[in-house]
Amino acid sequence: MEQAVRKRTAGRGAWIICVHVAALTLTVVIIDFLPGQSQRLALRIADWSFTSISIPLAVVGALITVPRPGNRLGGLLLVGALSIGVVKVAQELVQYGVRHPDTVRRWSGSAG
Amino acid sequence: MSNWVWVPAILMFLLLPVLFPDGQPPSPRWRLLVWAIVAGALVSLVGSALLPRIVDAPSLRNPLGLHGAAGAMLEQALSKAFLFGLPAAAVAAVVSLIVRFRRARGVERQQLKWLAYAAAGFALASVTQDPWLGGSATTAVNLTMWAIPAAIGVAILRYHLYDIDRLINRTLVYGLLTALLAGVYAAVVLVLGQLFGELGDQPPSWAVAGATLAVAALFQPARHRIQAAVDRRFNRRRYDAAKTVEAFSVRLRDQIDLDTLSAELLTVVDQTVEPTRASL
Repeated sequence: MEQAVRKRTAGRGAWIICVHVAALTLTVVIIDFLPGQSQRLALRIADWSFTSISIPLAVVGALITVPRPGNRLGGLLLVGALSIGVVKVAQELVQYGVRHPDTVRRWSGSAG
Repeated sequence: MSNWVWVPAILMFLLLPVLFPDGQPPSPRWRLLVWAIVAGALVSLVGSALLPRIVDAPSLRNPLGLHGAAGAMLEQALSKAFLFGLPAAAVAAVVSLIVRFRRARGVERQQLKWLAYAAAGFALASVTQDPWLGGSATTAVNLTMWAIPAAIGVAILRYHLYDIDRLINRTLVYGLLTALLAGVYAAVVLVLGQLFGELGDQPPSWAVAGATLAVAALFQPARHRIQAAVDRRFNRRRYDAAKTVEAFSVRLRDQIDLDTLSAELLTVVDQTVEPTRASL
């Protein structure tokens, strides 16, 4: 009984991480389309192709975690995917902030 | 945050070969490597968080960072640790995968073949990417990286697990065939152009036509030869079975005694198909 509950929780957690990773990847694309981005389209596509690797990593991680919660590879893939997603969003925000300091200041002002 | 969040991703890439496919190191002794990698990652995580500047925007100060002499020392120590520690950990992880492959039998061996196949494809694409192609080549290489999670999924979920042998066989045959035909095409165009002195910016159209004809004529015989060579080297059972059937078909022409023929046919079936029982 307890094992079944643990398995279900692990499965839910895995798919929640998957959704987060997809959202982070989408955020990277949205930031890239914000006005004032100077990078060439080919380089941006190359960047997205790297960021998007987090999606199959997360999906495979979840597919492993759901039937086999004891296999550490599932969790490892999920953590790695989440890490790639977060780091890419953080990088994009930092670079956007450096190029457009006023916009970021306005965002933080409206958020505060 | 962008300074340290990448550490778990590096940790994943380093631990993946050590823990694949069952989530455990190949033997208890390899646990030491797992702990060393985890400890190294923790040190890198804390060290990166305390760097004096934001790595992606060096003009910005890290509000959490150490500044002054301590910050400079930390920066130096971390860069040295990455220069030596990261390649050493990567090599050790690959060695653990090789050790596991040598010991593995049956299902585990097939699982490892899937990972090795995907990793080899990615490594080949990374090595052969043309730096002049810029973004497009990088995109292509990044997309080959998708094969790694796909291969891990196939291997662990055991979906079409045994198709890997056929996949490796076809990749070798068609990869070698493509390289051979491309080489022949280039050589024919170059030699014909040089011989008849018409090679300018564009090769003459008759040289291109000749090279295309040569490649078309070479396709089937080259494919058969390469297939036989690959089977002989990597798929010995299939090669032996083909040889046995070939020898039997030669004997079939001369043999007229039905009993001998039946016995020989049963022997050939036994050697090639290996059924539990066979009768005529």
